[in-house]
Amino acid sequence: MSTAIAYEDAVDLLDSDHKLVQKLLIQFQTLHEFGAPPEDRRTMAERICAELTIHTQIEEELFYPAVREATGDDALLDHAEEEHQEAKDLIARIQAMGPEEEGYDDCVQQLAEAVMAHVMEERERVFLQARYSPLDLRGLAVELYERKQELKSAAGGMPELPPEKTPEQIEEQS
Amino acid sequence: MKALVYNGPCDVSVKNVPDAKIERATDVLVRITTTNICGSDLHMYEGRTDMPPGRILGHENLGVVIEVGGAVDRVKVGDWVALPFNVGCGFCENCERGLSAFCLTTNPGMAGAAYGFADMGPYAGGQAELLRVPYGDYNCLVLPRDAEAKQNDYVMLADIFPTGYHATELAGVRPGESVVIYGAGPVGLMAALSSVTKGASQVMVVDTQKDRLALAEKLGAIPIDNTEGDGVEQVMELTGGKGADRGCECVGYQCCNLHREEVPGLTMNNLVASVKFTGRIGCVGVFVPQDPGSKDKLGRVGKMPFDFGMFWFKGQSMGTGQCNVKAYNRFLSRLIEKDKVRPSFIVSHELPLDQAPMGYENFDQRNDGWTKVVLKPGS
Repeated sequence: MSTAIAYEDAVDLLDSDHKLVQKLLIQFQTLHEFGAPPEDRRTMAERICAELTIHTQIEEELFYPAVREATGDDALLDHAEEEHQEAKDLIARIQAMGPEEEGYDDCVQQLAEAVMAHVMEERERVFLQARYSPLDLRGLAVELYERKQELKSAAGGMPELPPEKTPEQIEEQS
Repeated sequence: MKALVYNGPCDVSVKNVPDAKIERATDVLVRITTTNICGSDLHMYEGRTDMPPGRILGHENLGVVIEVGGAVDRVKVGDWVALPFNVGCGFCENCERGLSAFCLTTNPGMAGAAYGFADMGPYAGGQAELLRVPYGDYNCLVLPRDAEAKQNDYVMLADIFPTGYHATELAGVRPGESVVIYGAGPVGLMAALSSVTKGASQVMVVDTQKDRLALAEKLGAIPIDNTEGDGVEQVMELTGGKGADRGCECVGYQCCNLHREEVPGLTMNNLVASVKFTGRIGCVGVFVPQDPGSKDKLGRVGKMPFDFGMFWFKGQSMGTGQCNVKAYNRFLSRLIEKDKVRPSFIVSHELPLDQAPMGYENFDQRNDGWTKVVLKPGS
């Protein structure tokens, strides 16, 4: 039942996406540092891109318009959307490339930097303003959750992650 | 107002910036009279965090209240206040339980906020003439009448005195026990002061810097100079081969070997080795989820080699994390008021705000004699 979701509010739900993606980006960086085979790097990158695509979509469809209305802070929300565009461009570039190509890992690293800068700003500004505003963030969490499930099914589920390995195992394998 | 601004790695300067002001009805505005440079400022100073350029640093702040928001009841204009480095709300699940370092309100998505600190919310630092204090009734510790005269003592309540005390609480130090403390920097020295105050029978402080070890010795601690033979071996000898009852980590992720080369995990593994079977370790040194500036491949992805097998085998336990200053500052302030402790003993330099960049440079270089820098924005 949708009312039984554990997220207290929309901010908690959206930031759990951030935390998951941050974890995956660190894992990608580990694969890069220790020379994982292209296939594993690609699987990880695809998963990161898939998670981010759904996350940005639910923010743009539901969260940002609601915060824009509640706070009237157009500059803040315009800026957040611009940052999404930067991430989307990088995702498109990654998806059009092969993991053997030069610049593939660089591109994912650029995405990591863009995403982390965006996350920090979103926490400090958008989330804080949203929580100060009269917006019903608890109710919005349910809508965001349902839309996320819809988008995940429509995408046929999320790409699987490469098998978990220690840095040493990654190095030995390569 | 004038403020110390982070421009980029190893580049800070005092600039004119817009005045801090009351933004919400629960805010308090403080004119800063004393503010310290902290060891954790150096992680940011060196560019080893994701601190964006343009931010004002400073989270060890003390001053006089000059304005209060309409929803502030307890704090009055003219009060001398010490500000915990944590910015808490006082009403979330964690603040309710005294875990103000992990406030769920002030840094949404994450837990825990602070002034002028990477990844800890939008709050400007206090190495400036003015500071905005959110949820002022909760975040101000109103100081006793001797506040002005004892500023250099009371300012230590913002961070390092409670943080050193927290290390001993996480480690579970009780009267009569032995304690080994790694790091004789300001926090390590405060952990030593706290251990002595709690009645530990033997307080051992391990470091490589002679000026800092001399301060530890003045407190009644046993200085252990790591450059004169293995620190772990010395602790084992002093504890009859058993190891210390309790251990405190007061160095963090940029810990160095004798040659000042960073060796991630060194202090933690030395603690596992020098704390007894079933002993407990309190870790307040800063560690980060990712350290892109590390020379170490593992460090760059937020990992370090930890002797977990030995840690488990010895049945040790550990407490970690930033200090919940609000849990201790009121009681520690009474020790200062009643002249039981004088944490200002670590202060080596008192500088006007204008000279802060020089203070950063010397403190960062660990130049001899630079143990703690106190800035005076009013002078």
